[in-house]
Amino acid sequence: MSAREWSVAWKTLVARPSRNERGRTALAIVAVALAIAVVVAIRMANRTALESFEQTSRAVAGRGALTVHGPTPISSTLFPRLRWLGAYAEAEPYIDRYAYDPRAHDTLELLGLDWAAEVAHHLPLNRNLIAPGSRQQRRAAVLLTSYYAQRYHYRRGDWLPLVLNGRLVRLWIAGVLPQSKLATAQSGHIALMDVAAEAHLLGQVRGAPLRFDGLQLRLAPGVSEPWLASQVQPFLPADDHVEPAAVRRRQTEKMVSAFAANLRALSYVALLVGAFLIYNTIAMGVVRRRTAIATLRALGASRRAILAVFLAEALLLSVIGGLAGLALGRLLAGLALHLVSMTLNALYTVTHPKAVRFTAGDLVWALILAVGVGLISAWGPAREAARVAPAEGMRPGLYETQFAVAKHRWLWLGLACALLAAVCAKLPAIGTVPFWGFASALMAVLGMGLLLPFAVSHLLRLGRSRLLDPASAAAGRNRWWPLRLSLGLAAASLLSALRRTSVLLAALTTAVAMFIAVAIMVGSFRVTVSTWLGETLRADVFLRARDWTRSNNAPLPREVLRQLERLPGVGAAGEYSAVPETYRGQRIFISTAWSRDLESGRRNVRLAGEASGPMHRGCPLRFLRSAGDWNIWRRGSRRGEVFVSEPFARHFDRWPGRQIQLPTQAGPQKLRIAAVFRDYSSSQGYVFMNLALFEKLYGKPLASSAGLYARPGMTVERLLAQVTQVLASMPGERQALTVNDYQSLWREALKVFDQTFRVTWSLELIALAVAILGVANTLLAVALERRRELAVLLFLGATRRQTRRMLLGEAVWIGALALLFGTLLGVVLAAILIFVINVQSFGWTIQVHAPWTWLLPACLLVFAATLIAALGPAGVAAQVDPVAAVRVE
Amino acid sequence: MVSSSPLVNRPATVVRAVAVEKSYGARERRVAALRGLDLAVSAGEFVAIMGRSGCGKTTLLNLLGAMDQPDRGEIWLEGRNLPQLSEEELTRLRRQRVGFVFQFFNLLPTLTVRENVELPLLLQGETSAIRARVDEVLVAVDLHDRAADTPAQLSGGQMQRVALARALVHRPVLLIADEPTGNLDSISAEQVLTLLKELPARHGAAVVMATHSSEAARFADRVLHMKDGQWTNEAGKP
Repeated sequence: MSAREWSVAWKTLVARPSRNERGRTALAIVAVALAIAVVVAIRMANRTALESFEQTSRAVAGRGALTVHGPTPISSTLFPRLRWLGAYAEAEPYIDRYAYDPRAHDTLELLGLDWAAEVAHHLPLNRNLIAPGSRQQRRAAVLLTSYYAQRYHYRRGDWLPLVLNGRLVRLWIAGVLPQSKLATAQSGHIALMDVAAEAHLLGQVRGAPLRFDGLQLRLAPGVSEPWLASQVQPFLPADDHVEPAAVRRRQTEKMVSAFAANLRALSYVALLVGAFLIYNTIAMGVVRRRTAIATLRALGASRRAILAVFLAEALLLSVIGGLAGLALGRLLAGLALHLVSMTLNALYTVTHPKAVRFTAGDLVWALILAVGVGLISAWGPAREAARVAPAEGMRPGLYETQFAVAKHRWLWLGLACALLAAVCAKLPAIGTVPFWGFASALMAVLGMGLLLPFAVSHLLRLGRSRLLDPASAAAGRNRWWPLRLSLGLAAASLLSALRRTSVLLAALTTAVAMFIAVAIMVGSFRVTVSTWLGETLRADVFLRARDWTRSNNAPLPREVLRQLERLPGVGAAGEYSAVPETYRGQRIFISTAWSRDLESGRRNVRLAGEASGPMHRGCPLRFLRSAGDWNIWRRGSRRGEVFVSEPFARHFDRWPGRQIQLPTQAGPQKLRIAAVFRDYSSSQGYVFMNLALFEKLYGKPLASSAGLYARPGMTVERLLAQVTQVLASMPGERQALTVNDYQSLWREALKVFDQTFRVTWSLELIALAVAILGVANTLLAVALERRRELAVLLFLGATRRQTRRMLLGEAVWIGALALLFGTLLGVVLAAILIFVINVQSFGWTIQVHAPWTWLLPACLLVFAATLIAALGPAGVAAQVDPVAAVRVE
Repeated sequence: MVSSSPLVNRPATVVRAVAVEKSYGARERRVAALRGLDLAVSAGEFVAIMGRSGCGKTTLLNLLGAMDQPDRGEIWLEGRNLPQLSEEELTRLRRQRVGFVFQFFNLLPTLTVRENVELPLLLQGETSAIRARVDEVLVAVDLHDRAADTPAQLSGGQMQRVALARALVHRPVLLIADEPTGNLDSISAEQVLTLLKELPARHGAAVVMATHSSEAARFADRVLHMKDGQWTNEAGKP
């Protein structure tokens, strides 16, 4: 293939025709750009969120090469035994807690380190450090990042109010940290104080040995990590261990990996839809230019030149679309990051990701993705173009009917894909990533795409013959005849271009199906969570520390609870505690709950005269497969068994009857699982045990949340007023605690739930937008391509309104068929999402509740959008010049 | 005997053009396609128009067939002056009273032979006795056995016969044929021309055919020659 040959082919087949189809080319580019933008935005948001974890982890606990930690805090009594370490590493204890700033209404990571070393490291010239003040000030001295100080107008010497461990404390801002790795961790939401001071703030008794979260070891030059780890380990208590800091970072990554993988997979839906559209754009170009291709071939152009030209067209579309998508993705990434971090904060741990960063890697990756998808999508039609036989291509009037659609072969392939989808759905997850679940969904989508030509051709044929049947029209007394005629001709038109119709339908069907699937999944999940909340949240008033987060189970001040329990309106109280633990390298929580009848003082008893509910009956859990929660709970508790949450059981494959080994204060303990309970509060595992067992293994628990039950005759409103009044008399506690009644807590939980799915909805809506752009693009091509046929209809006496209606009729068919097949596929995808992907990613069983009441109007909206997308092309169809159109072959 | 006069006053004139002018293009590039042309065609008459490419034949056919409007002059079709009709009235008139046959057949590839032929009736909203009328016309063009085929399965001659059937199924008063044999071999062309002469005449329809072929023109009752938008064998005024 010579350059000249290529240049002639390019000019004839792409450059010149594109001039007359600028609108269509622009639509195709916008569709590709949107698809790439979505993927880029999610990639950037995911990466930034993960980088935030990593950066924080590095800055906080991972600056040393090794960390020492255990199931319980590291005691300072360990230090004398590790004195020999000085020759090989610098050991620094740390405490890491989240605190709530009631003035700024923001969370802050309060990091306790060696104050003198940190000041010397960060503020060597002490320029930003004011002179130490009083003894009280020195004990509460904190370094704040310049970002945080500027954002919330704090200055050196100010007092910083913080809710720490459920109590309001005041810290003295001794200085402002300049820009450094530490200062940029958590996007500046970090404060640094002396580790001993923080230990005392957390309630540790002065003079007693201090307890730390861990010890970081900074290795001297030339010291090997594995060697030092092996040397240190024998000096540690049985359950403590030393490991590379990266292991802990990976733990966080692992924790959010399923969430990130699901988001990535959803973002690729838009790309899949985009791929269908690139395929269609090139395929339509091939059909429309078949005469030119045949002529060029007859004049001596090689197959390779034709192939190269169409691939080059796809490449150009992809590169322009990819670059535009990159720019758009950069803009969308900010929004995506906000939504992603909101979900991570709600479900996993506190994160303050910094602004998204655009890297050269993003550019290269977006281009590779766009070009890869473009070339793969265009390969089929381009190869078909190269195979156009000159004689056949130049035969007039045959249009796309020349391209035989091997719909029966596709049917079998489609059925094979459906079978593969079923097989993949049965395979287990790889780690926590439901790889086979995604493969199953992809196979289902491909299967439907391959089945579409067969199914659509039958339906369109049926529609055409019924609608254009004069006999049945006569029976209808002609009333709807114009409409029937338009729809019948539209069916015939779609049928004649079955491949194009099928591909367009595959794109729209995929987008509609994902929308429906996500709607069913989220709707089902919402109802399930709502029901579960109703079953498990039975107290009337709830209390929690303001600095409570998923990863920071801050305790409630005990004396405040006791004071509230003495209120005349309180009949009973329940408390709940959870402590973080590591099980098989993953973070889990050990939890317990107890309730108390305040009149009798008895624990975990059925409270007479109270409303029914598991908590009131002494059983705080709802079990997965049971009829009689109370008996399971009582029997298991008596035997000293534990209860595990469904995510725990699924992730670790630990079910009733099996044993788990947990690190405890008394060393590793093997415990038998009595039952599995439903838990939708977190995808991290929970091991639940009764109070007696918990106290035996982990000591006296500190309640991280509490519920108060109104006495008979006392309304919730009055009880809430009593609680609020008591807290108002304690200004510190008022700021440190949140108080909710059942209704507001329920609403808040569902609000958080809705927030976590905003990003999912956004992705689905963008995929739908891409597909609808595809409808506009394809129908515009139809209008341009079928000018001659439309002209003939005008010659035969059709009105322009009828030709316009015919194009709209095609949109009606496309919309209706996409909704039909999209609903079928959507139900299948919903089943895969609910029973495979969701279970494997998060370990939740969801009861299916399809939200048809709003899904139906949403589907009608999609249908309306399809029709609106057809208005432009229909206008083009109505403006056909019949005289000119019929003369040109 | 073949007449050469564009204006032969007969009692039942179907279409009549009077001093028709039509130009195309922008001001400085304006090209006159028809320059004050007159024509009258009677019921049952077969008129052939000959001339070089670009002489204005197709323009005249489009004007007679209510597909286009003249810049000046009058065109009367069954007593109605076309320039005075609205777009909608023209469409209705075309749908009910005019049939078209094109050089490139212009069958809809998406429809079967029967559906192609049914189309004018369907567009009219005609729903009764369609099958009988389509059968009748398909028998007349000898394609009844190919009714279920698509155009792609037919030869050029067969396609043009389907086009002819489609043009006649609604029994128009005027049949416009633009180079109907331009794409056909001589045998197929003869078949089509024979049908073109016989079928419309059965119900008194007039035929106006543009052609380059003197062989085809021999089938006409009158042959008119055109050059630069004017008759070259003019023989009188209306």
